Amino acid sequence: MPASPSVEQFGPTVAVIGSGPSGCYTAQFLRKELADAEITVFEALPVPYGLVRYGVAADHQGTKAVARQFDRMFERSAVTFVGNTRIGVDISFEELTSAFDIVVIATGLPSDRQLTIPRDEGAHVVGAGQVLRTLNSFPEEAALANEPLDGELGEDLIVVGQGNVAVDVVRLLTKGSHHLTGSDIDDRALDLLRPNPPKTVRVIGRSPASNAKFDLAMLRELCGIDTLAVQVEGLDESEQGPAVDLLREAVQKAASVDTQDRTVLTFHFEAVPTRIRQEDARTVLEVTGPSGDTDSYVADTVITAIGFCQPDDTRDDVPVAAWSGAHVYRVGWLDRNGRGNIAENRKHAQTVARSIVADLADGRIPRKGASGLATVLPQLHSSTVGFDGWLAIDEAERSAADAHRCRRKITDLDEMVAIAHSAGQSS
Amino acid sequence: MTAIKILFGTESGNAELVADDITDTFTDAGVKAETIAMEDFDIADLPGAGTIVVITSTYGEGELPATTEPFQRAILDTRPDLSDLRFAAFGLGDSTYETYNNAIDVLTADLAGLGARQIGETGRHDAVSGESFTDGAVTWAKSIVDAL
Repeated sequence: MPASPSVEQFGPTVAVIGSGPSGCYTAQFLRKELADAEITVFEALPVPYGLVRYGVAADHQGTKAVARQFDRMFERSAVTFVGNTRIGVDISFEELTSAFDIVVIATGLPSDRQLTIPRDEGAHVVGAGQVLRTLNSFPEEAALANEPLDGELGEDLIVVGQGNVAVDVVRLLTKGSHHLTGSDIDDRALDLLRPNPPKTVRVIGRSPASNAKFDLAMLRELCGIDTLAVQVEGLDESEQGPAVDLLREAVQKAASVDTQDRTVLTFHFEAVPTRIRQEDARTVLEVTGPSGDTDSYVADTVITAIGFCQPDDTRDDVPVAAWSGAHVYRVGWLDRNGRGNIAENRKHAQTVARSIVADLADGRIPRKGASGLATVLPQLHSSTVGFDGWLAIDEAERSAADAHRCRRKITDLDEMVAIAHSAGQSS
Repeated sequence: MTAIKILFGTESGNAELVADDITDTFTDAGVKAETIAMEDFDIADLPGAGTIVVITSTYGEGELPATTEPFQRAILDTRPDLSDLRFAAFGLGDSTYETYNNAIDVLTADLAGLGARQIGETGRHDAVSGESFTDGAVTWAKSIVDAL
């Protein structure tokens, strides 16, 4: 039974669904513009920050540091965190939109996009997002759809895709454990997926080297790993540019060392995958080169790093077209088809926040005097997690780390909630 | 004394957090200060601003962030006389890059080239260090607040 508001709302009530960077930046910008608004960020997991925590690679702690801004927002700027709450499951989307003047959907794109080429059923193909999530200690029970990764990826790997995600996967799977000092990588998962560094890794993409989507800095970081020996296929002599220079330099360096104890990393440019076969116990990727010739490469696992999408199966907590309305907005990857890094999505969040403020000022948002959190909280289960609960989980993870890691993440949802509530706080 | 303007340029918002920390540190020390985004600051106000702090991160291949770049370009285009301007500088960077903290160095050189005088050393935060932004910013701010 909804609580009747005993206090007249002076400012609009805002619900943000999803506490990843897009959702948090939107809350941040809205707070700056709307001093009187009641702003609540809902999050399905007991812990906030989305891909900052589960997508950004464990050895890129500098990038993860944006979370400090969001911590400060929840601590100081009267933005409320309500975790362990799935919109569409714990409360319906309709109930949420009737309780809040403004709803911002920032739920991202949780699934790896699949290759649409023919594939044998027994072929071993996994998504890069899933690999990175696993190495980031994502709680399996919360994963949408996928089978968990429960064994070695193998000695010979193929990565399809040439973006930063592809580079992250290669780097983490080939870097020695001692080079992951200061990270919060899931060592148990790393050991499970690659008990030994792979012998070969092929990175396959359709672009020429000069057009490949990975950032130069990411490529430079990868080529600087001294346990790799870099090779390149499909690089025309006439090609130019900083990425090309870097690759040629790396190839030259590799040619002068004994590659026996190294992982041989081969970049294949202008290669288009056409088919995935299973042959004996191995997986074979067939590709077509720029001149139409075909090649096939044998591996233990093919890892796809070709973008993100909504999951296939219909679930109650996944935004559908019906999740819309005059006062409903979308931000971040959900709205941009999975495009954009953190900084780019900050700009998008700023744009969306500005349009919300403009719509409010121009009277385009129906003001129903909706009392927001006061209406919704009584309808939720008792295990919601507040910001103090997150701080308790954060502290527990940092304390549990060994000397070479900055944190040991908790992977069990019940354990997270128990720690959050023992801090004496629930929303 | 008019409030010291703490100007920041950012891509991911970290420089703004640093700006707020510096503003808080100065305020606690009895020095009036206010955080202002470079994109919201009119260059015409620069020559008469008295004392300012400039804060920027470095982005990509040593580049200026999207909100620092127009500020810097406006300074270079209008070439104001900044001989009455004093400034302190703080940069956010990542020492795994050769162009570590390049943007703040570019900005300080541009300001100095137009006659502005720098107070104290350029503060630098290194993403690799594991030090929090706040610790870096507050330590530096305390080191120069007396010289303002």
